[in-house]
Amino acid sequence: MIGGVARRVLLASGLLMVLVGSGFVVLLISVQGLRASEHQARHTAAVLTSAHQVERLVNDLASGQRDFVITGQEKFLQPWQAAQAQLPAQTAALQQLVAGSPDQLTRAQQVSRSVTSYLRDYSMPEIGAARLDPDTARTEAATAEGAQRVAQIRSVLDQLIGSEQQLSVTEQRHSDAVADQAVVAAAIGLAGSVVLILGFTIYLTRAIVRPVRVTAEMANQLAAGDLGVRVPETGVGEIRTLERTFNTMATSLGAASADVAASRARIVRSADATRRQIERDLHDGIQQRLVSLTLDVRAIQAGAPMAELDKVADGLSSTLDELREIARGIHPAILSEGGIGPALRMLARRSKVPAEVTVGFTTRLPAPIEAATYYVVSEALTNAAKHADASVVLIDADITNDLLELIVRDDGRGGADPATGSGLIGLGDRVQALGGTFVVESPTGAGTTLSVALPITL
Amino acid sequence: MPHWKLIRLIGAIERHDVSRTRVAIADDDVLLREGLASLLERSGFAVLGTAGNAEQLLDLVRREGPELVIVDIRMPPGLSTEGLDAADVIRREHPETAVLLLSAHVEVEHALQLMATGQGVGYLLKSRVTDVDEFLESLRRVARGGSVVDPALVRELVDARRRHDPLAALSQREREVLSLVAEGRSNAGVARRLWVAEGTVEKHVRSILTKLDLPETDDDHRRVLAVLTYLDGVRHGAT
Ligand SMILES: Nc1ncnc2c1ncn2[C@@H]1O[C@H](COP(=O)(O)OP(=O)(O)OP(=O)(O)O)[C@@H](O)[C@H]1O
Ligand SMILES: [Mg+2]
Repeated sequence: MIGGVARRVLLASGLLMVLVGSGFVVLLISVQGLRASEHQARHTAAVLTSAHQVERLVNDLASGQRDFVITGQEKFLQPWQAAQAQLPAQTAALQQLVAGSPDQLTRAQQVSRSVTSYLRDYSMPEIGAARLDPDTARTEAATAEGAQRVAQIRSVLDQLIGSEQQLSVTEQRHSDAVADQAVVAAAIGLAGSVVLILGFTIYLTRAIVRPVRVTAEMANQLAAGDLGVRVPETGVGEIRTLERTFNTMATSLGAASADVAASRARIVRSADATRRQIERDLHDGIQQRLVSLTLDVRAIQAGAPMAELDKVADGLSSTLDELREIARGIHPAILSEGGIGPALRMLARRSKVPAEVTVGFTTRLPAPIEAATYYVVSEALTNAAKHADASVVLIDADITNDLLELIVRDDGRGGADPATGSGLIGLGDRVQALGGTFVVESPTGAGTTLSVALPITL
Repeated sequence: MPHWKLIRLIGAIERHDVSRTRVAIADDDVLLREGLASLLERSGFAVLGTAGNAEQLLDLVRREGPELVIVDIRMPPGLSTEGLDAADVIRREHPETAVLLLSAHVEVEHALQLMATGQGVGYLLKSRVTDVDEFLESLRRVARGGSVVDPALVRELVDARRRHDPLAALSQREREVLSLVAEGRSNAGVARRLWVAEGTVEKHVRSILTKLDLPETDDDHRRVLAVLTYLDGVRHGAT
């Protein structure tokens, strides 16, 4: 049984974990990619700034030298001097920035070399010459060489800048692609998770929630007394165990309750038999004895009349009357001798409330059924006289399809409540012990109806 | 020797007239049976024999041909209504034989069943035996072809509450008369009981029969049967 529902739940949970987990991994990767591309962008900006700086310094060199040569005044050399001081550091910084890329490094080194050579091989000799003789320095040839050298440096710098920009664009594209992939992967992961969770939920509902609910409902019915309920054993694993256990429980409960019902029926039957026996003993034993004793007294009197004996004989006679009433209360002899019809008519004759009996059969029925019918009518008549203030009680008994149906109704005040006495409850017990049904309908002001149905089985 | 045997002996010596009613007694209780036999012997009846069950009784009746049979309704083997069944057989085989049924308790259905077999029948509670004079009087009436119905049974029928009670139209006196008639008494018998003239009783009876819409008849037995059937019928709505 282990590995039934539990294994399935574990499996589904694992799958869900993997799916959700991989979604997060994809997201992490794409975040990482974005960060790399941002870093690259910053690097590119730094390289560009540095390159432009170098370019500006080179321009300063060129313009400072030109102004000095033209004017011959030392103050115009100041930009040149500042640029010359900064350039080594600036080119070194540029080299360091592009150290990661061999091509760019080559270019940076070339720039650095060109600048150094510009200063050493051209600019400083030119300035020295200008100081000695300003006119020689202003030759066409010297100016042209300077311009050519600067253009060459600029060209290399432009290459470096272009390359760096190209690199940045490529990196941007790559990171865009990664981001797109991440979005697609996340969407797929999300959709997959939703589908999986949905499937998981449906499976849980089908395999666990619904069978448990059905079983709970059946348990309610069982608790309400319907011992015939069974749940379909269609579940998996532990659920099927639960269903099977429930059914086993219901079956044994049914068997136990059948046992109890049978034993109740036996108790009622044996109590009835005892009462019948007592009635016989009273009638055929004690009554006979009393009658013959009285006869003896009368016989003695016939020989020798005595007033005292008269009293004894009269006392015996009234004792006999009492005895007869007691015997009838214990068990109505007419029930065993004549059956339901005569017995119910006897009850009706003796009822304090007018009662009308209709019995649709003359056949004899099993003794417990006859007794139950008798006691129901007897109690109903007593109740009608005691509580109902009724003008009539109608008693109907008939047999349909092996079922004895008895209806006793009065036109009294109604409102009978079995819970407040012992009579009606006892009747219900007696009828149910025989597998029958006993219903009391007693709306206030609309009379009381007792309906009894008893299966006629032997 | 038990005292009752002595008394029976004395009775037999005293009464030796040939017109004594010949009786058979059936009861499963031997003491009661013998007590009854002795009472009857003492009181001018000739006891032909006693029986302990229905079969013995039928033998006795077929052999001796008694004029009157006194039979307990409940006897072995079934301890149910064997006496009533035996009475049926006797009345069929010997319609002239009078039958008095004794019962431990009153039962209308049984009484009516017996009454339906014709005249010369009686139905009494067993304890009535102890009211000796009344009992002997009943025996004589039955033996003469009259009918006897136990007063307790009549009371049960007359006193029963009815939704639309036709007896409500009767006066108190008429009710008394009706009860005595139902017990099987003749007009003269009723008159004796009530200390009135027979003509007065006749007047009451005619008034009762008219009020209850019952046919008049000179036959006492038919009158009893009609009244009992009527009372039983209105009881449970059969009319
Ligand atoms: N026919 C009826 N009409 C109106 N009320 C009734 C009727 N029958 C019963 N009741 C009410 O229902 C209650 C329960 O009746 P039940 O017969 O169980 O007990 P009881 O008659 O009071 O006592 P007992 O145990 O002696 O029968 C009564 O107390 C009475 O109030
Ligand atoms: Mg009650």
